[in-house]
Amino acid sequence: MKFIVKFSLFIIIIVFSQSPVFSQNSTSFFVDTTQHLNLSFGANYSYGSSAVNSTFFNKFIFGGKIEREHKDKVYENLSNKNKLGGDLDYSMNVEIPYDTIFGKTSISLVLGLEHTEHIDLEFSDDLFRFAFDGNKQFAGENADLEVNYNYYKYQQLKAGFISYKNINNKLAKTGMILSFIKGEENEILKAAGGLYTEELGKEIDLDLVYDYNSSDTANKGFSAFNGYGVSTDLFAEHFFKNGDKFYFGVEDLGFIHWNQGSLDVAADSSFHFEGIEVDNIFDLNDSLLSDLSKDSIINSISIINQKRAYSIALPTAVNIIYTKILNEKWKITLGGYYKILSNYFPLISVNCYYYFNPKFVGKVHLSYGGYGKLNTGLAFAKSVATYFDIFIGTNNIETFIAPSSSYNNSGFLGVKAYF
Amino acid sequence: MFPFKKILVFCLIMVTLFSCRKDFEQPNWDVDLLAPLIKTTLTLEDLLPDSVLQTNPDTSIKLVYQENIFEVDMDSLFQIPDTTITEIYIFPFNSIANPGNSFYSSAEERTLNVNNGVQLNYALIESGFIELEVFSEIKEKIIITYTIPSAIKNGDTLELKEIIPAGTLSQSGYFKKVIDLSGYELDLTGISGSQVNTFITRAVGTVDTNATGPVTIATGETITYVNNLINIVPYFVRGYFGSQQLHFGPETTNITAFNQIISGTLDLEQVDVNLEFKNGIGVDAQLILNQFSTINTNTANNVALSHSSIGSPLNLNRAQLTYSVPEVNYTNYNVMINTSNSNIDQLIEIFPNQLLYDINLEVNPLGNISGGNDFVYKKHSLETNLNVEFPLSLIANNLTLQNALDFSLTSESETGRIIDGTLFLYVTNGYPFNADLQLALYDENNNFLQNLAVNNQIQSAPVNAALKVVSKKESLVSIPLTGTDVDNLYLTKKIILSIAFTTTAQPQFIKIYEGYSIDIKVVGDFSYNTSF
Repeated sequence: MKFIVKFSLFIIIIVFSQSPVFSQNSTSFFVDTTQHLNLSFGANYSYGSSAVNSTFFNKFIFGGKIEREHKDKVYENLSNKNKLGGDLDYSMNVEIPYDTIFGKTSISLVLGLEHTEHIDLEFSDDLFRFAFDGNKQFAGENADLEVNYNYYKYQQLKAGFISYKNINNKLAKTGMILSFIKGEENEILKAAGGLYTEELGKEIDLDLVYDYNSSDTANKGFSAFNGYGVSTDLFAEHFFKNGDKFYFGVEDLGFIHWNQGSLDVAADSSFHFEGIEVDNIFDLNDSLLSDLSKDSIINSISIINQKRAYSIALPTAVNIIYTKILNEKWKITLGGYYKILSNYFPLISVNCYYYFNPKFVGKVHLSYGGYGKLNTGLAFAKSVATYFDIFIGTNNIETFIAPSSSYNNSGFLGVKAYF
Repeated sequence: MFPFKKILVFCLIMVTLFSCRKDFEQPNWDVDLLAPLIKTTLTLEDLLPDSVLQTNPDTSIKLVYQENIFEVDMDSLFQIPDTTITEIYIFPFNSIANPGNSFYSSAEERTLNVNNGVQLNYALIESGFIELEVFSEIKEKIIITYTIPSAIKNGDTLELKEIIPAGTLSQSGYFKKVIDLSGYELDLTGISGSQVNTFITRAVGTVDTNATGPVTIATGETITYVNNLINIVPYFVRGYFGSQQLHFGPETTNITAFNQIISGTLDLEQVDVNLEFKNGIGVDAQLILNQFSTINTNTANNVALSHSSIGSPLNLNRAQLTYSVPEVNYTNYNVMINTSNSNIDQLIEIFPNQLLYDINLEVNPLGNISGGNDFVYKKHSLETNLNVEFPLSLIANNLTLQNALDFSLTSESETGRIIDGTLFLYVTNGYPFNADLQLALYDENNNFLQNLAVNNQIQSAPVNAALKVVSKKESLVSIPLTGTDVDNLYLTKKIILSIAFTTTAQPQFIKIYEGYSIDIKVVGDFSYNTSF
């Protein structure tokens, strides 16, 4: 019963959060045997951590009180360097087949829109403890505060070509898709330092070296056009004589240039605090509290605080999949996935497909790496009335069964219509 | 059509699936914060204004307080009220006057309506006006030359030459002009030079030179002059101010020096008061201090001064003119009151907020011995000042000072909220007294919410045999804040802070020296619920 509730919740989360990853999932269930005009929508989300379990994560994302036991469970897994990250994508693609284009045959034009949101960070043990339990625990000690944080939100307008090639009676695809990117929001923080709290709390010392970049903070929301960029997706498939398939893809190879309204703050300084110095305690008033505002503290310790444009490389992903067809009912894939510049740990995965019939397939997923640890997934795909393919699944079924022992959460949903 | 139906169905499904988005609640969690909040050094200057503190040669501090009790000035002696003087000239017989011929001339004495029997022979006017109105029944335009020969400014006599319109059978010719008397010297001795409060006006009437022919002035026709003296304020006057009996009181004046003290007892080792009379008026005076008391209206305590000056006549000599700058040499009369010859310390030890006095003052008790040369400047008066001076050598028992602090935690509640905790006050006391704190919380409507519990007191610094502080004393005062306390703190807009002082080494008097101070560091140890 609990599982059903969790699974239902999972479905609701996917639908209500308008989530993503589509391209690989949509094609891995049902293999195209011919070019079609098709329209596809996909939503995918995933988040995970090497230390933070799903119970904690769910509280943090979906709200509610993070209790003592939630924090203690995370503390058991903390190491000197901990990873955390997540992605949220929505995409819509249309594939228009052409017999001949630019003198080449079996080419499809692909047009698409995609919204991408990505967050990743690497943080120290003490930073997590400080953030979620305060500084009192460090009285008389130095807390090592270290973080490397990246956040992107952008939209892509895609256009590209897929070339279909018949290899050993299988239809292999090779493609290149270029994207124009509208940058909406970005934050990059690299910070290292120490926080010393005197044993009785009479003094606080902060040694901090940090570099923070942010897109225009005054211009937020879907309509914000704070930067522009380009990227490309490249992929190729090859079929072997025994029917096995090898897939290689590079996704989001590109950059975004954030405009002049962007913020650049840097510091390399020590900050000693013994309380707000009051000339006359009888003149104490609430204006003193404003002295401790976030802006005033940043200004007091910053050595650079300016607006300037900057460029960043996107977290480019490399995807390798080897597919082994066992028989008409069974198929196995072995894959490796890695995202550069995003505090990502290489992910190794195994997927086992079972075809209940040619139009209904189930998938069991097993992987290790990424932002989390061990992932176990389950997905189903159905081809309906020859016009629609629908698939739904998760790579982290364990998070719905034992969230306190799970470190990842993900889901994907897709619909593809053939015309 | 078929593909379009499929597209429509497909899009409807997608819109339905993706149209709803849940707005998730904010995550929140509790953190334990330990941080310094406030650092301050408290000295006597924070409690008392610098102007009342002075340092003795031995670096001990004394408190000096000055208060002006009352003043006798020009207004107290006399005033010149607004006065209207009307003069009507009636032509006794028919006459004919040619254009340019004078047909009328008069010189009159005008008497100022000075009160209190004051006889002035000279006045220098600071401000004021004469509003002159002329009504003429002469049937031709006339020229009136109006002069006040006894009013001189910069060597010039005050003179006015104006044309008065011709009168008709039904209406007199009318003219009005306001003359500014500022800066004029008035000789008030009249035509004879021996009168008082009297000035001279002269008027000459001439037929307008532009008249077409001779003018017939009929019997009974009149020219009327209305002199309105308005807001006459002398800068200086001379004369005889009479033998006046003035009575001041019983009157009260407010004392603010002890406003912050609300309770407790204070024993002062020594108090010196100089009741100083400064006479800047050129008259002799005799003063009798009938009553001199202090009142604390909050406690309904009052103490009357017991001193030999009470009820005894005090003779104040007249001030002298210098004919230079400053214009006047004051004469002083000092009544020294101290703890040896009076109960003056008791008057202070009730922490008065009012001073009550009752005084009789006789001006010129010996009559006109100056020969009409009494004088007074508007800016020089007979002042009575109270100069209080006492060394801060005292015995205090729960001497409680109170102060209101503005306070608001509203801005903090936007990103989180204090759950509970403790405020720690690390106090390093350099004063030779213990201090107990009390904090009372009040909301925006000044309604009392609660007192905060305060554990421990600020302990006195140790003193040596000379009763001088030898080192500072550290104390830890804690203020635990329960959930209820915190709830009330968020409602609080004002904190009434009361500090009760008790001096050490009692029953000996303890001196306060320059350089004594209390260092306070406030550290917050809070559980805080934060949201993201």
